[in-house]
Amino acid sequence: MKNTFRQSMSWLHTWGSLWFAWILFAVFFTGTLGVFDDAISHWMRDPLAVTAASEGAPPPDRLQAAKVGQAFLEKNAPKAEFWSMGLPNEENTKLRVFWRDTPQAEFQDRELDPVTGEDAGPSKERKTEGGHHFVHMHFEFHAGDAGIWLVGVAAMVMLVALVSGIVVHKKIFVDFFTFRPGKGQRSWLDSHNALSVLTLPFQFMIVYTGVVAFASIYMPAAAMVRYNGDLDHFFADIQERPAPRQMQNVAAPVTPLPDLVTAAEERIGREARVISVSHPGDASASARIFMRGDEAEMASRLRGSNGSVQFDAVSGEILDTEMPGEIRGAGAFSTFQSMRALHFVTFGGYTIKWLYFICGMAGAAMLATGAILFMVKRRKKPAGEFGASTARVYRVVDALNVSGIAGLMLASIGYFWINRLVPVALPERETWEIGLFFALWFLTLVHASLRPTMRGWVEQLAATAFLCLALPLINMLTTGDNFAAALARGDGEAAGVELTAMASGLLCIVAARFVHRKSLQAPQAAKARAGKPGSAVEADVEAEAA
Amino acid sequence: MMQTMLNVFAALLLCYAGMTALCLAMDRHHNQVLKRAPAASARQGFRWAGWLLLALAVVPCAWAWGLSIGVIAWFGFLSAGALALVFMLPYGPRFAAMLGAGSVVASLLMMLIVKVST
Amino acid sequence: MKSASIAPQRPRLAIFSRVSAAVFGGYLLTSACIVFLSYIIPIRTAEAVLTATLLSFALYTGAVIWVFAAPTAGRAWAGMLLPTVALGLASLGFYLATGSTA
Repeated sequence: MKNTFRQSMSWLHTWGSLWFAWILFAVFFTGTLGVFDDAISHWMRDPLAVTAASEGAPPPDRLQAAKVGQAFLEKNAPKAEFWSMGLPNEENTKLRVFWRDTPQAEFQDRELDPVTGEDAGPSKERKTEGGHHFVHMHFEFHAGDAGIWLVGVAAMVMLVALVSGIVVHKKIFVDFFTFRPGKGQRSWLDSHNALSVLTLPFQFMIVYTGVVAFASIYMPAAAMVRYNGDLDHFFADIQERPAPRQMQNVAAPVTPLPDLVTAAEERIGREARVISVSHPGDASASARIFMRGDEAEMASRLRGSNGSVQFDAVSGEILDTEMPGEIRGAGAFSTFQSMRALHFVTFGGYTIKWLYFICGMAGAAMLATGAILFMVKRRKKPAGEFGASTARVYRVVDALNVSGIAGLMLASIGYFWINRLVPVALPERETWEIGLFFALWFLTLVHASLRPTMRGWVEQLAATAFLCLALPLINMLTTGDNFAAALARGDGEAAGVELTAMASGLLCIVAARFVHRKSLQAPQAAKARAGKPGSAVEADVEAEAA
Repeated sequence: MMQTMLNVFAALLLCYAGMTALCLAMDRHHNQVLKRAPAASARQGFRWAGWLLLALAVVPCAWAWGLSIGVIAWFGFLSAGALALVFMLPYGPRFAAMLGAGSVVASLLMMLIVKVST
Repeated sequence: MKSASIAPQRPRLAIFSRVSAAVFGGYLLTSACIVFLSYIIPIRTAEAVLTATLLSFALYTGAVIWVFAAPTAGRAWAGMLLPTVALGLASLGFYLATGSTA
C-alpha cells in the first residue's frame, strides 16, 4: 500500500484519538457542566438553608474582615512569601485566607469568621466544592500539576485530531448536512462527522484558548529566555504594572490592610474583593487590592480590568492604579485576554452559556461517537492489530468506552445525589463528596469489565437516566426544596439544574432503549464476525470514498 | 430582557433557515425533501438565499451584544441551527424544510418588533 | 495494514520513535521557534514574547502533523532537530548581542 498523506493522517486520527478519547471526553463533559458551575454550586449549597442562615446577619464588614485576616496570617503564616484574602460579600459571607511559604509550595487556605477571625470549623452549611468540582476535573482531574499536564497533552492530541480529521474527511462540504440513521457503522460515521464539522469553529476555539490560558505552564520557553527565568517579571511587564520587587531580607511590618482597603475603595469607587500581599514582613512587600466587577458591565465586554490598586505594603504609598474597564498592553495582551474570556465565557450572559453548553456537549458527543465508531467497525470486521491479544484489547477498549462515557455521566449525576446524601455535619464533607464521585466512577469501570459490553451500556445509561429523573425527588426528601418551589420563588438557577438534569435523563432513556434494541440484533453481528478479518482502516477509507 | 430574547430567537431561526436553504441548494437533500432534482436556477436561488439569511443573522446578534460579542454568538447560532437541521432532516425532511420557511417569517417579524420598540 | 505503511520493518519501535519525535522533538522545535520569534518580532519585548507564545500551539500542531507525514522516522527526527539547532544558535546570537533582560 502506498503511504499517502491521507493514510498517515487516518492512522494518526484513529490511534492518536483513541488512546486519549476517554480523557478528552471527560475534559469536554466536565468542562461543559462547568459552564454552569455557579448554578450547580448554588443548588448544591442548598438555597433554602443559605437564605435561612443569612437572614438577620449583619452586612459583611470588609474592614473588620481585612483586620482579622491580617492578624490570622501574621500569627499563622509569618514566613509566607505570599498572602491572599477573599473578602466576604452577600453571597459568600466567610473570609477566605490563602498563603504559601515559597513560590513552588502549594497554597494553604482557611475559611474564617469575618468578625472574630476564628476558624469557621464545621459549619451548619452544606460545605461543598459544588460546580468547582467539575471545573477542576476539567483542567486537572484533581491531580495538581500532573493533571494539568495530562490535560495539556490531551488538548494537543485534540488539536492534532481536529486537523488530521479534516484531512481524512475530505468531502466536508458534500457531506455537510448528511446524517443517515439506521445504517450501523455508516450512521456512527455520519454523526461523528456532523457533530465535528458543524461545530468545528467552536471546537478549535475552545481547545486553543484552553491551552493558551495555561501557556505560561505549557510553553514558557520564550518568556523564560527573555526574562531570565523570572516569569513574574514577564507578567508585570505584559500588563504594564510595576516590576515585582526583589526580596531585601530586611524585616518590616505590613501596614494595616484595612487602611489600604479604604484607600483603594475611595480611589476606584467600588467594593474591594481580594487583597494579595507579596513578600509580607519584608521591606520589599507590596499589596494589590482587586475590586469587584459589575456583572452587567463584565457581560458586555471581552477584556478590560475590574479595577485594582497596588500599594507599597510597608509605607502604604500607592504604586499603580488600574481603573475599571482600563485596557492595558497592546495587541498581543488584548488578544490573550480575549482568548481567556472566550474560554471562560465571562461575557454575554446566559444565552452564550447555553450556546457553549450545546457546542460543548456536541464536542463530547463527537468524542464519544468516535470512540464507539472504532469498536463498531471492529465488531463487524476485526482488524487484528494486536495479533493474538486483539480480542482482549478490544474488550478493554469496550469497557473503557462504557465507563469512560456512560460511567462518567453516571458518576456526574451521582455527585449531585452524593451532595444531598452525605451528612451536613461530616468533617471535610466536601472532600468526601469528591472521593465518593471517584469511587462511583471506578465502580462503573468494574461493572463495565464484568458485564457483556451491550448490557454494560444499557445498565449504566438506565442508571444515569434514573438518577437524573429522580433528582428532584431526592432533593425534596433531603432538603424539602424542588424545582417547582424554586421557580415559584424566582430561583431560576436552582430550578434550571433540576430541569436540565431531567431533560438529560430523558435523553439517556432514548440512548438506553437504542442500545437495548441493538443488542437484540446481536446474532446477526456474530454472523458477520465470521467473515475474514481484514483491515478496518481500509474499510474506513473505502467507506469514505464510497 | 424581552428584546434580548427576541434577538436570540431571531438569530437562531435565521441561522436555521439559512442552513435549510443551503441544504436545499444541494441535489442530495433537495431530492430528499422535494423528491426531485433542483433546476439550476433553484439551486442558485437557494444558495443565495442561504448565505443572505446567515449573514442577516449577524444583525440581531449585534443588536443584543454589540458587534464583537455578537459575532461570537453568531458562530454559536450557526452551529446550533445546523445541528438542529441535520439531526431533524432524516426523520422529517418535509417538516424540517417547512420549519425553515416558517423561521424566515418569524425571525423577520421578531426583528421588526425589536426595531419598532426601540 | 495501516501501521505497516508508517512503520515498515519493526512497527513498534518505529511507531515509538515517531511518537517521541512528535511529542519531544516537536516541543523542542516549537520552543526554539518561539524564542527566535520573540527576538525578531519588532515590538515591545513582552508583547513579542506573548505573540510568539500565542502562536506556539499552532506551530506545535503543525510539527506533529509533519512528523507523522514524513516518509521515515529518521527523516522526522531530522526535521525536528536540525531546525531546532539552527534556531537555537540564532537565538543564542541574539542573546549574546542584546543581553537577556527586557
